[in-house]
Amino acid sequence: MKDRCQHCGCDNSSHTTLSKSPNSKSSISPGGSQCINQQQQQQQQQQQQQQQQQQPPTVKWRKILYEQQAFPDNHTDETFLIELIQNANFIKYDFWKIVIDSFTVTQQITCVILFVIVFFHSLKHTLTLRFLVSLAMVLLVLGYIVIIIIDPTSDYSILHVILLFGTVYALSPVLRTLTNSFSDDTIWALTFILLLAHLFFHDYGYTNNESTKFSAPISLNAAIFASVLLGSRLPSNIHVFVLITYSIQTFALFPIARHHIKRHSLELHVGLTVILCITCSLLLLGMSTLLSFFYIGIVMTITFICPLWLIFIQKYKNEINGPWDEASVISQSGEIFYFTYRVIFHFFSSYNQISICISFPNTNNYDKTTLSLSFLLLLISFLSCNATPRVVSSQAPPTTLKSMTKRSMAKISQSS
Amino acid sequence: MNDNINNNIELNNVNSNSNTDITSSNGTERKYRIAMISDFFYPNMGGVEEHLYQLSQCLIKRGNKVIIITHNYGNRFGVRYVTNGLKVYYIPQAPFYNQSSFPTLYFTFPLFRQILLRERIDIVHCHQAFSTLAHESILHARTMGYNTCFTDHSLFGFADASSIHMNKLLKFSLSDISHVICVSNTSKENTVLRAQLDPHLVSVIPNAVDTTQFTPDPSKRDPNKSTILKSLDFTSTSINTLTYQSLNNHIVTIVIMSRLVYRKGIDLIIDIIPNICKKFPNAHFVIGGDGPKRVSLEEMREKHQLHDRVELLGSVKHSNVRNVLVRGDVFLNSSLTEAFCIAIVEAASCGLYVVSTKVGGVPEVLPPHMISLAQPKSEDLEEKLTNAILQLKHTPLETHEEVKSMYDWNDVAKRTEAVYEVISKAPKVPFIERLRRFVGCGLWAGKLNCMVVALDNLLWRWLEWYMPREDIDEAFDYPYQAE
Repeated sequence: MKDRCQHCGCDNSSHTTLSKSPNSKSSISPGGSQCINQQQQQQQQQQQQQQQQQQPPTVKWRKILYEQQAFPDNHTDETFLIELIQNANFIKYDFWKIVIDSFTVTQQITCVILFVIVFFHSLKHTLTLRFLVSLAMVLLVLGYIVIIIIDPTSDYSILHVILLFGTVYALSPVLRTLTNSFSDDTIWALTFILLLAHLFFHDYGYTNNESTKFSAPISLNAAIFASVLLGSRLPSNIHVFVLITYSIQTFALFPIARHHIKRHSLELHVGLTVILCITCSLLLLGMSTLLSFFYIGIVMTITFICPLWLIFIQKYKNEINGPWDEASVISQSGEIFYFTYRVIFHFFSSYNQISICISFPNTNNYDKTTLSLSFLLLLISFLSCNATPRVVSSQAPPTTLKSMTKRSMAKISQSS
Repeated sequence: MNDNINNNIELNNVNSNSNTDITSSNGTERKYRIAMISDFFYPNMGGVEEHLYQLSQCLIKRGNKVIIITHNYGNRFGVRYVTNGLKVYYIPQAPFYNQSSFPTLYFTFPLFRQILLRERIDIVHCHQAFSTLAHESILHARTMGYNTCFTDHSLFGFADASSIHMNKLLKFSLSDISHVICVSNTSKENTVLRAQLDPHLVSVIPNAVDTTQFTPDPSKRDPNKSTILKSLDFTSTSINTLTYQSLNNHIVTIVIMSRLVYRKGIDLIIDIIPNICKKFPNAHFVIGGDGPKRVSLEEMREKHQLHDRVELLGSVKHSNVRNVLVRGDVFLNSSLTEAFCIAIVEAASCGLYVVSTKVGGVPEVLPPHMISLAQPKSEDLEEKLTNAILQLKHTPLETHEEVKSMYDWNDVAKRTEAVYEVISKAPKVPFIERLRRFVGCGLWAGKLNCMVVALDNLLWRWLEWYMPREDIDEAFDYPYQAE
């Protein structure tokens, strides 16, 4: 094996002698100072190796740039790509586990459809008002009992429920006329988009018992907005009240109940899903056969085909990680999060306050003052809803990035 | 071991050829006639621009002819000459995003062909994966049968949308390339994976630093110590010379020089500065550079009342970087991703001890006694910086000499020339072989690529007929005598 120094282009045999007989003195080459440097470095290496007496006397390639090595520039060492990590986050899925986990999506879709069905029945007067009110009451009491049984430590008192629904009742005339001037087409299109947004942004992790905190502000706001829009088509204030009650139950309270059910037992979780699906498809069958089959098709796809698909495409997973990846930094200042939060807050400025009120019952640290404050906020928000968006934005003037960071800093200093 | 033998064979060929070549060429003829192409060149400033300029200068000094093709910057149109007759073509291509020119695919071809023929180019060398002009040039140059070479200056992940897009583009461009140069071994691994190349087609040639520009100057250290003493409110009677002396000796200046953006890890710096200032009352920070994270830095400075200890200089001209660096004892680099990181070499050349995050190619750049590497987490970086301040030794001149022996642009030019040697000897690739290479890009992408290449070939034939090469005048070479 004959080797030459590439960098100086000279026929310098010192590198090969180094690999064959480490003790031989290398001759002075005509390659210039650089080559001499190289030789000196190699001599140093030699000396080190002789001192250590551990490594075999061959020159090993090292992954460094600060020394010129006796290898060509396109040398590919056996350590090439040794730091490559493939599929670091690979999870081997069990089919039935994904099927059961997929139930939470089915439940949410079913809930949305059930809510729309309730709306249509109250719009067409096919269900009497008395029936709707009593059903709402029964569902509320049932959900309350379930939560109390599963989680006796939770302190949901009946007072909150009365306060919450009392407020909704008091505000139902306002809610009914809020979007009265919108045309029907707008209402249907907006509702469809908002309910779709609700399904996209819903906190499935919480209902699937993977996290313990229910946080889906966009999703909840979208659903409540959709129910307010639908409420404007209803004939009487009491109808609106019932519809909003249903929407609060379906979109805000039912996920909490489902979270506890999933936590308590898988059988109940499966049973609830089956009951919901059967009810929904039967009710749909009463309205339209096509819709019913469409619904069953969607549920079957989500429950059986999607998990199979997921397992099938797992074999194409090729995640590549290595030293070239950009390191991720979780800053202590948390500025980005706060910024996006502010943006969302502005976007849903009026409706956010409703969700604050609604999500109060499931937070454990509240008192009467915060609750009454929240109702005050609710009132203000509805009043501002009535006004034009211009007024809404003037309530919360656009903040600059600088003042925003200042606020975030202040928030951190408070929390720490 | 098999690989090694192959390499050596290739290497032998190269060297024997180079020997004969140098002897056979007469004095007036240039060794290689190279077109460097990138969207990034002066008046833009950065690592790629510096690399292009320095490499071109050294190649000219070694008896090559070099021209640079870039897009126009503002009203900087047409042909300009810079130092040593380095000819720069600012071609009329509008930049549209981050100084990358607008991708037109075929519309640059006529002008590009004219330039290459006028200058009698024989090697096309493109730079930087972000550069649209470079990608288009690779395609056209290969269609015209030129030997092309590509230098990749940056690292990419594989997960996010922009990376996936860039990697697809790179895979298309590098399907048919003579040779690729990367600036570090990590960058080579990355490029080989991204473009799915044969690793033997990829050489590692590091960046370098003009060590004559970055010399240490121990007298410039702590220029603000007098003002600090004033701010500490020492009256001349209350302090004796001894305390004054010890205070002087113990001021440690930490320099940070980078664009103040997320990718440079400014969030880490924001986290550690207050803690370091708390630990060391004698620690001072000098931060050069500008960017969106400057606001956060200012907030931090205000919140912790560090106005007299954290100096924000704003953007620093490249010619002035050395004057800032020599003020410091420790250089702090907190980049989250870096292919080579010239900044730490510049700092080491000015005699500073370097503390850096262990990302990308950074661990390869400096020997362990000149750099302290930390995980990209604020706790670890803080710990390493603390150790560095505690164990600080002042050996700026020795460090400078060491860096001088490590990195030299002439050496880079020499090694790049070796690459030119290899690719200029490579056999011409027939059109059908080019198509075969492109069709391997993917099921649909492969066919699409083939169509793009075929159309490019047709366009070239048409140009050859419409603007025959005999009608194109040859440009005079700048009369530069190589050393």
